[in-house]
Amino acid sequence: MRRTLATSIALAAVRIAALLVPRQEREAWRREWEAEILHRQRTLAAAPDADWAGQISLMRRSAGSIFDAAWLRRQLTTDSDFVHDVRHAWRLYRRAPATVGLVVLLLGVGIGSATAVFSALDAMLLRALPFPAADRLGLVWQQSDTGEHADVAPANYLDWRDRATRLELAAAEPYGWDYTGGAEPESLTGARVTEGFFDLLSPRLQLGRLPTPDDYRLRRAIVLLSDAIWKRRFGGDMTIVGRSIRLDGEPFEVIGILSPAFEPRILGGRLDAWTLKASFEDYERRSRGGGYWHVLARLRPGVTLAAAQAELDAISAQLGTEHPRTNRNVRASVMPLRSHLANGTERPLTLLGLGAAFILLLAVGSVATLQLSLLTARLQEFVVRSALGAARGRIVRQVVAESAALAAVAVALGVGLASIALGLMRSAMSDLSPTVAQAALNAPAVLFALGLGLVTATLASGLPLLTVLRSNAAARVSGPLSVRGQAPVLYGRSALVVVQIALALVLLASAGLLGRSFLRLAGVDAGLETPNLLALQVFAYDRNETAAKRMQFFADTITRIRTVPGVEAVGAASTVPFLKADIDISSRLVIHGRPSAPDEAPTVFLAAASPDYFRTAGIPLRRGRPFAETDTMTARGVAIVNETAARRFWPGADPIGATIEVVDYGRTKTLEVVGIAGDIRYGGLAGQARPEVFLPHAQSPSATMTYVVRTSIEPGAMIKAVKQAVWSVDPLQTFYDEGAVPDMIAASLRPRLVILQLALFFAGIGIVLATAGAYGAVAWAVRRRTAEFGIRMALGATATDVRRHLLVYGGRLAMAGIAIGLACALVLGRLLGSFLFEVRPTDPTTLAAISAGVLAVVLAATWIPARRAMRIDPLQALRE
Amino acid sequence: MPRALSAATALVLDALARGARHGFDILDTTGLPSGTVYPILRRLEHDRLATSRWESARDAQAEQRPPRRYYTLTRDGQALVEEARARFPVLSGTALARARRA
Repeated sequence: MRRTLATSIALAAVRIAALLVPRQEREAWRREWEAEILHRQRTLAAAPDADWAGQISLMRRSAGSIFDAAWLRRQLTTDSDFVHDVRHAWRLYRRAPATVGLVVLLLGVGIGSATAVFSALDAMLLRALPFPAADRLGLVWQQSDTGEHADVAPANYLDWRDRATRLELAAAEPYGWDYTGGAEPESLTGARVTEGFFDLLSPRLQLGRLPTPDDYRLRRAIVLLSDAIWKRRFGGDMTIVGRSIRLDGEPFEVIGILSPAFEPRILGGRLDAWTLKASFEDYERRSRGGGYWHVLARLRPGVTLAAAQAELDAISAQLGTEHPRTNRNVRASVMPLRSHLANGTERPLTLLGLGAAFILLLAVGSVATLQLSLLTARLQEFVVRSALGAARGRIVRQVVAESAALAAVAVALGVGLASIALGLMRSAMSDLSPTVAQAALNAPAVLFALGLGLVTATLASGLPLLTVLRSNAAARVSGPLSVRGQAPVLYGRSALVVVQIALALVLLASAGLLGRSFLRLAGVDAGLETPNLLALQVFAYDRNETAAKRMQFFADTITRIRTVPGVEAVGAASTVPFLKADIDISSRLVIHGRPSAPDEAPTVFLAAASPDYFRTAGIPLRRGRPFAETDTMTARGVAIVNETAARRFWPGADPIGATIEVVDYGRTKTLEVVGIAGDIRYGGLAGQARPEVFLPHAQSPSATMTYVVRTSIEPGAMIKAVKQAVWSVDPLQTFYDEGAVPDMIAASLRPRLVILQLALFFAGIGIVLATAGAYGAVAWAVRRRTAEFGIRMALGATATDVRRHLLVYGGRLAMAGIAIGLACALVLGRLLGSFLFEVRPTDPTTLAAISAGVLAVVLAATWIPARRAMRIDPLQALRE
Repeated sequence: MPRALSAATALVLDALARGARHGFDILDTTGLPSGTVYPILRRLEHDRLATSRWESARDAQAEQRPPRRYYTLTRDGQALVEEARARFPVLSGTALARARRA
């Protein structure tokens, strides 16, 4: 049965309390409590609605178990000093429940967030990948001279495979099939893999077998299915192995079902099916330019990554001399599988880890401050006790026990919070990295939390102890209330506040920079009007192999979609931003009347568009005309360029009327520029606009097209109706990707949004802690120095002088904190780099605004106790 | 016999006499906090006013949870219930009301 969070917290509390129970009773005691909690969980789970009151009462009762445990301990053992100390601490803390509660809450938040980040990093970096000897697995990419990683061209893979001795290579060719055996035609994604691919990964199977060398030799039509597609599409049919399913109309024998853990994501998203790449076509043996294969590698035993890379470098150099035209600047680059799977999530996680560490430090500062004030209040007690013969060690133990009690509660709270945070993290990052998706609150994570608790308790008691013990010595000589005796305590406390302000400033500065970036990014004009826009991507090649058939198919389907009630406009283009599969087709651009060396001709991206595409997607035409129905195959070739292309290739001139040449479908086409369209962002809002040339679909009959549909109602509700319109033309047509464009944009922003929310959360806690620290320090100074202020006022200082004195004290704390914080923010800001968009990590406006804000808040916090100091009655102060 | 019969102990005795058998049951019936009820149960057992036994493993397994610990009053305990009810007539009534509401 699934355990609810309340039950988990309750069980954790009981397990911690059990440590108090004397050993001979512990097992029975724990069993009794666990049985009660689990029984209650059953009754709660049986209730028709979530019974919050019941859940809370369950947690409260489990918290009571500590009294039961403590009672038993008192009965069965003579009290050890430690237990006595904890009880003493409890009585002490009960006098200031709000302060103690806040401090524990913050410690809990710190420990919880650090633990969550630890679990995620543990899953990504430390835990074994679900493949044998996974640390020797890697991926090989084609790296261009600009350093970009690209997929691999088939001929390059074949040469690497044949020449490399230090690593074994296998390739996967991304592939899609139409599966038409179900209720609706469906597009399956997957890969065709070369021989040896599964030997490198050795995946676990739930059913069936892996391909054998014989399968490759005999070129058998066989398929392995993923667990997900097997359950969803084939109902988890246990008898499926050996049966035949139709992919793209051809029969494939199902030989195995992969285990759910097998989700290598080496090709990006989830994959449904795997078939064999048993032979290579001639064009594949020649193709070295644009790559689309993914190459998996396993280092041979004893070979280091550097040695493998060195060999690949040598092979790349050879290929560069053999095929200078294509391979001169291409380098084979091997990357450990683990880093690939982490997919860049280490950086946000490191950032979160830092944020959590800062919160933890801030909270430790608060506990230390709390201890310090409690300790100074008891200075007399300690002095008297030392005088009566109490060992200094005894006092130390007592303070440590007090901090430990706080830390223990905070650890329990932190573990609960970490499990919530991990849930959030999984949902936010699982699309990015499969390894993060497996992060869980396991034993190492709980140990980590306990360790943090221990460190916290040590730190939080160490500093106050040092200062107090020093002042204790001084106090013995000069009396407990002397100013000299207080001085080290005062400095200790001021230093803590300065550190807290500095930490809070760093957190606020990060949140501020991320917030500004996010606002900038969200304000970016995507280039198309997104409300009520629907996009559906199709690959329509299989049943429309000729250009004429494809033209007919798209003309028919567009006409049908237009008649669907609720559809206002419909168009189609071969490349539409924000979809899963970006189709990048590039070409050299030659402008007539402008001679250029063939190697230096600029590159542009080509896209085919239907006449209504621009109007439907809301892409503004800056000048000229859109495509018309008359721009057919037999008419004169025309093109629309985007603003970036116009600016870059016709600076200060008008491209309309210009004649250009591009290579489309392997043929050079001469086109007349008839219009200029607005820029569109590809690759998310943070992406750059790129030079683009649109061709009329009638003159460039792409089989891969994305319908854009503008609807009068909520677009998500129209998906089914639009699909049915397409199926009325071809009932077997599948959809590769579909969705409302605003949703797609929101999804592309989601990881950044989650990071921003966490940063804001941390920053909020940070400033609350720092403000409370400053307030506490000044209020405490006022209390401690009442006599001094009384003397000053008796000697002629005015109330305003006293207030100014305290405000200057607060202001100094703030300035010192801000100065240190700014220095840290400037150093750490570089880490934020890649999360920022059009905002520099040293952005002076943000940093200045945050600093001013922190100063104002700290001064405001100082103001309240400073005003109280003004009301000191000198006579009364002196009498006391 | 306990030195002094507290109101809380009286409530627990009363709950046991009315058929509450295990810890949370008694918590529900009496409305007392767990940190109070359990030590009382331990004391009653120590003073031989109540005994405890573990639920049969089979019953617990049927509900997929560990066996619970059941408490019952001894004869001495039963005798004390009468005394408790005599001494705390109002509290006993409250417990009854709580039990009915629950």
